[in-house]
Amino acid sequence: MKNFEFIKAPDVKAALALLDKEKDNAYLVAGSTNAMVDIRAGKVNDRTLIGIRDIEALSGIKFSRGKITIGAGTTISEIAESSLLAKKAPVLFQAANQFADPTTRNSATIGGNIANASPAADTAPPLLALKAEVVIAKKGSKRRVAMEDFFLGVNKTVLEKDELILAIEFSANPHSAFYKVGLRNAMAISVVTAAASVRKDKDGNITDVAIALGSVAPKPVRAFNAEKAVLGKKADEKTIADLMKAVSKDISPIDDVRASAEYRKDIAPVIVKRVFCKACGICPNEGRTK
Amino acid sequence: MSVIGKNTPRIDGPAKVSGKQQYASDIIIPGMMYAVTLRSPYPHAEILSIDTSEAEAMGAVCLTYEDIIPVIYNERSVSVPAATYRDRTVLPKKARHIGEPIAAVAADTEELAYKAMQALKVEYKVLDAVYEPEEAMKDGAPQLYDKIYFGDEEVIVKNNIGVVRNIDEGDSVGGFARADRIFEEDFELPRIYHCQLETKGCVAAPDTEGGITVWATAQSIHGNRQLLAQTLGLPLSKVNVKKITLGGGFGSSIQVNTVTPICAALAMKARRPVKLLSAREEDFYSHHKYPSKFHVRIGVTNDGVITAAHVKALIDFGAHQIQPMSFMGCVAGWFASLYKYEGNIKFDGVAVYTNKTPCCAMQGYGNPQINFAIESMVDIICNEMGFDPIQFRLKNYRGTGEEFWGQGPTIRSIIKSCGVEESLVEGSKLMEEWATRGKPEDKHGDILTGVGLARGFHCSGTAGPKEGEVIDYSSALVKVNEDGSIDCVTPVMDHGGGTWDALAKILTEVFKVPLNMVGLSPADTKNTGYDVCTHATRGVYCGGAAVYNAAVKCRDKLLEFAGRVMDEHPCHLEIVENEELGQGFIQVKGFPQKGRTIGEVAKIAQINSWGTAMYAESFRQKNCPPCFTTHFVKVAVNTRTGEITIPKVVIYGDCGVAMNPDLLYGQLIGSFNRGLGYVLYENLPHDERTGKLKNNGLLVDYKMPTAVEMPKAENVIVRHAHTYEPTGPFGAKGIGEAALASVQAAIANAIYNATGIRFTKLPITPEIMLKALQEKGLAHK
Repeated sequence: MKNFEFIKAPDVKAALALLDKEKDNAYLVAGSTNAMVDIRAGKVNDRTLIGIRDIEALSGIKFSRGKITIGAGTTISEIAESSLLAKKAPVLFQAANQFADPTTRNSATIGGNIANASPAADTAPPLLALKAEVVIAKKGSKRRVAMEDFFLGVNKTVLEKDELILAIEFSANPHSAFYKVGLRNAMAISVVTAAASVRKDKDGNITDVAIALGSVAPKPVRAFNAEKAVLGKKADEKTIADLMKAVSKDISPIDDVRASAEYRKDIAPVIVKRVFCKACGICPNEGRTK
Repeated sequence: MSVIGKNTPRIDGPAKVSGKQQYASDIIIPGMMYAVTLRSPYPHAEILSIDTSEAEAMGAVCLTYEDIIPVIYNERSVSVPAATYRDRTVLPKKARHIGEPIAAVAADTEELAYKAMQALKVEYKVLDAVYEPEEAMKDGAPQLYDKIYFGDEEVIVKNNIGVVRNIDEGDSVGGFARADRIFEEDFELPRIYHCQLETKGCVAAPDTEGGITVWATAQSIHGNRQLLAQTLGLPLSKVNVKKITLGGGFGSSIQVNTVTPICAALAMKARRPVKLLSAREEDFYSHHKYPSKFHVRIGVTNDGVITAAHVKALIDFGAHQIQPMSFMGCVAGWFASLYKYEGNIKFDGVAVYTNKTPCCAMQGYGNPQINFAIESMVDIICNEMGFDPIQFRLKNYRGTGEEFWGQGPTIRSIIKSCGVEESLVEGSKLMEEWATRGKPEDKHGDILTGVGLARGFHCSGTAGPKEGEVIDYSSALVKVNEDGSIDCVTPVMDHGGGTWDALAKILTEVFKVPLNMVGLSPADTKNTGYDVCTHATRGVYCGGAAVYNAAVKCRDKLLEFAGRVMDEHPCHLEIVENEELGQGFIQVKGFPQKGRTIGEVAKIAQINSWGTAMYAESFRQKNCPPCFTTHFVKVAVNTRTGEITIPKVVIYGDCGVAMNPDLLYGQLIGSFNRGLGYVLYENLPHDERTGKLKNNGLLVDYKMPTAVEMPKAENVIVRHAHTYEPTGPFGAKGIGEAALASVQAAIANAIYNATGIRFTKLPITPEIMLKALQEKGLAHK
């Protein structure tokens, strides 16, 4: 039993006003799936929790003119059940379906997942791979930050203490995929995750690519070296071999309670290959049994 | 129609699925206070003083070492006092592991109690700590204890060695000399956590007569009562422990839980009811499974006869003894009873104190540990010497007519029912891939598959023809009501495996009544005779036998009344089913024309003032029959990531007559899942710097497999052997702990078959698997 105050914000305006007033003491909660754990573990003490779960304006998935907008308060379940995202952004849809377990997904929100800035946040690599933008507000102003610039480190983002995420926006890309390795298949913090999105011209050359990984650095990262290895090329065996080689330059994993750095280095290329091939619509050369 | 051996819906099912079942944590009493414990932040520290003044000023009642009666005890009272080491008090003067409760506070609300706990000022003298048994045994290592007690005798502890146990039978020197080949290997199994659903907790309510009533997470209400009476300085008649549903055990409450005497002492001091529940983070620091290291040596002749075996065991049992003494005896017994070894066995065990969470029983009491070692050895022997693994086991196993050690060297009985042969032969047919499994060197590809086999067992209870180190009996009262329904009062506990359903079924069979005509009454320690504990897979076989015995003797009384009613000798009467009447029907044997219902007889007996047909007695079994299991497991090893999946498993259980096959299958499948966790997932490493668990007691970093890690339902093939235990109630033995025994070795043997890599240390995580594959040049990119 730990102590905290709890104030429920009825709308965005009220939430921003509360943030402005409480400043350092404020602790935003929507699904509270991280907050409750942190409170139990004694990491969060005597804070004012500002509840934004029921703010309608923060919730929902919209698609217009090729752009997808997801409200920050949209639950992972809504994403995991969205037939629109299944078609237009499978990378995020797949990640949502591997996120924790159904009860956590019913509560956890996408805004909360990225704001918490865990290096293992399951929605971060997909959003990086989709080159998403984060729409942020504070009392009296609004700004947009590229996903790539959003994370600063473990549990650190560009968000100011009085700021709130309104939404996340990105362009649809059906050629995208996600893969997660955890210590088990449900309710597991990832050991390595990878996400990829590609665009190809009619000859099959890769004209645009974004690859991102989770749990391999202090923050979710783009794999720029890996991207360079495949850009402008066809997804053939040589390209894939180059891709796997390049991945090691993009990551700086550490040993933690879940896995060693060495293991993460070993499997990251395998996982990147899987998502890249899946995004390209080809079957990776594995899974054969004799 | 008899319900024995039939699937029937769980009697407590509706209460459990609707959330209406009451557990200790659901008890709320007017005026009740809430308690929290202050737990040691240091692995080893003297407590110089505890200042409670600030907490008391907040209205809290505090309990420290100063407030308790310094009775030195062992939380587990299953063994006889003369074979029990004692080393602890309700609250300590010295903290010996992180998370050890050192003070407790109670207040009007949980929040206030928490604040008051934070206001306690403790002065510690921090001492050096020691975490590994090898280190702890060295001269000059930090000493956890100067002296402890064995029975009534004072024992000086040297080099932290808590218990030494050596057993030598037959002629192992001669046996090894006769062997053509001798195999030797080291095995190591990790410390893991029970993760029972309900964390340990207690509600204690003092009464106005100086007594106390207690609801606690318990596997034995009488064990709790005895310790509480001792630590509170009360006569047993002033302490009443209520039987209440337990939210899962796995052995975690075989002892009186640490929080229970604290809660009771706090309630007595406050003179108000007190509730003390453990948070999961605290429960993680309460009790663990015994980590074990074994050195195993086995001698075999060229024609496949095991001639001798020698096991050396090193056990790290943590900061308090919850019976590593009997644990090692049991390990020796499980080892000795798996194969015949021509009677030549040697066991050398050492159990050592360390500054870690104390270890207690956990599903198998050393059996899964030693079974992993011996069944891995058997696989090694068969591979190296070219024996067929099934034929080799059939040649060497202990079966019908042979001696079985049910609980260490002092509890032995003769095996009278055995499904080993059926399980091995029929199981191998159900696992079609067994015949075509091939050799590791023939396998290629990214995903390597293999099939493994292991067999195991557990005792059904700890009784034997001779009394030994362990107490084993249960009590029951059975009475026939005036409408033909049956009441039964028994302290026997159910961990959730369905023991209470089995007891009810035994009653229906004796009185030939439908299931809805029997019921288990609320029970407590005041209205029941002693029951040792539901442990050692004894619930149905021993607890059920006590109910059976009382029921049969109650039936005799009823038949005596019926004889008077019908002018017949009781010996010429029998009870038969009568579905139309919905209750048992007493008739002249083979002559249904002359008869009365049970209810009519009971009613006439009451009206005539003859009395109630009832009987209460304690009952001890004279056997500890093994319940056997066999596992055939198929694994798939991903050579790119080291991930191991289980596409298929065949589980064979031998529990004699299955009281409820669905519940039996549930236990077998659930235990396979737990074994999966033990082999592939679970471990509780400590931070050597701080003495803390690396997961900090948080479930988020303690992964156990869920349903999705299991093979698909159609690939979980479960069968039970066609056996009948002549000494069990209606042919029943146990199954609970046996269900886990052979899972570990079966999976490890399958991994060997897939990869040629022999793992002798658990867990085999993807990371460890991948590393081993890389070293062998088998890893793919």
